[in-house]
Amino acid sequence: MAKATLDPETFLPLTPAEFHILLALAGGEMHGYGIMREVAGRTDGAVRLGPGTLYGSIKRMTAGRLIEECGERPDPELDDERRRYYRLTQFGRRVASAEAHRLASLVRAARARKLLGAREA
Amino acid sequence: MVAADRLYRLLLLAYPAGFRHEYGREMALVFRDLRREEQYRGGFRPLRVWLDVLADLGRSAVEEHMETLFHGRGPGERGFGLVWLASAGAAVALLIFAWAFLRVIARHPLAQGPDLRPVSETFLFVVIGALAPVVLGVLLSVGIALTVRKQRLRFAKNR
Repeated sequence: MAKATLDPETFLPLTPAEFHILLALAGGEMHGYGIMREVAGRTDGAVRLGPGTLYGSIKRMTAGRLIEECGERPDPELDDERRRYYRLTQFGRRVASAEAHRLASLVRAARARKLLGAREA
Repeated sequence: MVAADRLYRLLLLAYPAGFRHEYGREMALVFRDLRREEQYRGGFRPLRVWLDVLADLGRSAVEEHMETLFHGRGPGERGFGLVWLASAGAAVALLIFAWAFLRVIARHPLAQGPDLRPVSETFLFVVIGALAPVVLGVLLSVGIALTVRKQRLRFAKNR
């Protein structure tokens, strides 16, 4: 598909939900509930993706070839219900990396304006 | 299946059919896992799950219908998106209308609060009172037109 050859920058900025999902999948393939738990755990419960937001983002990112489905199988930690697993594509990794660089440059700007570190002082 | 899971499956009807068919089963599974985990932890957590899920449903269902409206596969799907969004708009308009009615006309104790100035009260009532029937009228006309069209298409296919 043509989108796979696109510049990752054209997908930026990602929504917070999309970036959190890509971050979760950067650690390996996961099913929907796994992604939800990973995001909640990483943010100490501050970000709680609901099923609608989660699968709405998955739908858009699958269409954009940022992530892909990689089969259906049960999660031994949960039950024997089959769940769809998702993983990051090469292009998705490039988009996530571009978004991380964009956010890092914002953090640098905030640091230069002495907005970062004020809370620790 | 427990009642909460059944109710959530029913609420999934708020999403466009295409989205529901693709992800409905997975969403129901995620809801069940979340409910089980929070129930195990106890306290008010199950209530919080419902509040979070309902807020998420309201937001994401509107988003999905908007997407269907602009990028739907055909006039039928786009039409349904339009009807759904109009229904949601009419429901909000009716709620505001009911609130205005209670507050301005009936002076119901539930509607008591800081007083509005008489001019703004009248203005609000007239605008909302005029808008609600218009919105409902448009909604009903679109709904009927689409139903009739769907019936015709079905008949045409069966010929």
